[in-house]
Amino acid sequence: MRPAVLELRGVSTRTDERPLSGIELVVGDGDAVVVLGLPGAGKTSLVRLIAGLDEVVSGRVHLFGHALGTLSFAMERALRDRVGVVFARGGLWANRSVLENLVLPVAYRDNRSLTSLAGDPWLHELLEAVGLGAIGERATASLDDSETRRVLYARALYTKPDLLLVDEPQASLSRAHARAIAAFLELERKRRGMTILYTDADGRLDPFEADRPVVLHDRRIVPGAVRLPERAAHETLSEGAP
Amino acid sequence: MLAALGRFAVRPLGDTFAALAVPYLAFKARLLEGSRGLRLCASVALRQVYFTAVEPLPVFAFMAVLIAAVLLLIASALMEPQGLAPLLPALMAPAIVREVIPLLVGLVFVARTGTAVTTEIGTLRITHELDALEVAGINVDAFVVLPRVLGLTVAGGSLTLLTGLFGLVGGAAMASLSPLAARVVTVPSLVDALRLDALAMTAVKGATFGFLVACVACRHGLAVRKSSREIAVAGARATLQATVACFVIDALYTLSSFAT
Repeated sequence: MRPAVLELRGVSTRTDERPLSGIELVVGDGDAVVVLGLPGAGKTSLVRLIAGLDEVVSGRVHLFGHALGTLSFAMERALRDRVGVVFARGGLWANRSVLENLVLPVAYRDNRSLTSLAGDPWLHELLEAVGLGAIGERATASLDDSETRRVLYARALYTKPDLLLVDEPQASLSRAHARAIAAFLELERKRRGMTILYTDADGRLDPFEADRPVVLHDRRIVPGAVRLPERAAHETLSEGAP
Repeated sequence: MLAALGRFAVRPLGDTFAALAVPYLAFKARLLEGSRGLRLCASVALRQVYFTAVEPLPVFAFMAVLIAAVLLLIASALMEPQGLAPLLPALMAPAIVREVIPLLVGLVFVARTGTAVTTEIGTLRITHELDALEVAGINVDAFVVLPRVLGLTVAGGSLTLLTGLFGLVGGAAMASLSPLAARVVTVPSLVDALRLDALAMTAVKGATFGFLVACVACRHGLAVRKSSREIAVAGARATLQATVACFVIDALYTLSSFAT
């Protein structure tokens, strides 16, 4: 088995929402894993946990082979810098332009000015890849949902993360944009060996691709499960309604 | 009843410690971050100084000129018939520049800047922008809080000092323009009455008010969790606490300077 990029052992969290409990998950280097779970199962909470936003109250979290909580501030920060996150909604810095949104994390990390990164070829390759070629100077307030989501993808990828967390990858995207982004993520996997963890609510990840599914149900990982549990009758009915 | 009284007595202490934890955590984060984001944090702090001290300066100057002129006129009208005119410059110059203007600037600071900072940070919280900063490796204490604390401290000191000097201009204008005031004070007597330590106290008070307003505003902004309604509540709480803090600190400064 490939060395683990991410390893969660018996992890429970403390959050404002319902906490996760006893989470067991191992993601190998270069893997693409999809966490399947019905709404409310805890997918976004899992992403928040891995991203370091929610407090771990028990269990162990290993990131790139290092146990979090036992490292120096600088070391833990350096590990966190290798993780990119694409949330399903929200999170663009509203008082900054699209370009500033993209380069801010790198400018902060490397102590550079925002303008010094504007000509970076990687930035423009990314904008093209997510279908936002000439959007750089626009204010984020003027973006629609699809453009916002694509900026979020570009921002997470700009730091060249070794582990990318994507909450509901197709959310707000047209089929064409989803296909283009999925293809680019696959390219990045092949090019740099990037590891990806997707979350998905209905088991139809297409056009994004994962090597294996993990099922999250009622705030816990279900060992060995590869399919979503049956939905409650009222959910099935409402989806089938005209 | 007893428990409620206890809570009433203890709560201000808790609020004070929570507000004072804000700069502690922000400075600690800055130290831990090393050179990361130093340039960006400096630019955020400078922008804060601009919005807080430079942009509203004309309004503050106008306010100071008006208040000083009116106070000088009233004092002239009341003191001259009592034969107290010779005391007026020595009383009015420091009173306006060191006492009235700093408190006035502090209160406007609370209403304008404090509310803006609380609202801004609260909004960043509910729109998940603070979460996005954290996951992007940008420390919220170092990047959001510290530049505001430093910016408001610098802006508070400089704005209060400048407003105090404009107050002096207002007094001088009244001394030149009003026959009543001109009989009592002259421009040189006003300037002579204002010692350097009074100006230093003006700047120190202003900087302290700026610092307090920033700490209280950031603390309440960061306390917002989910709902936009919380922002309004946080703003109201921050305004009240910062106002009380400004009055208390003003009284402590004044008492300490006159007690020695």
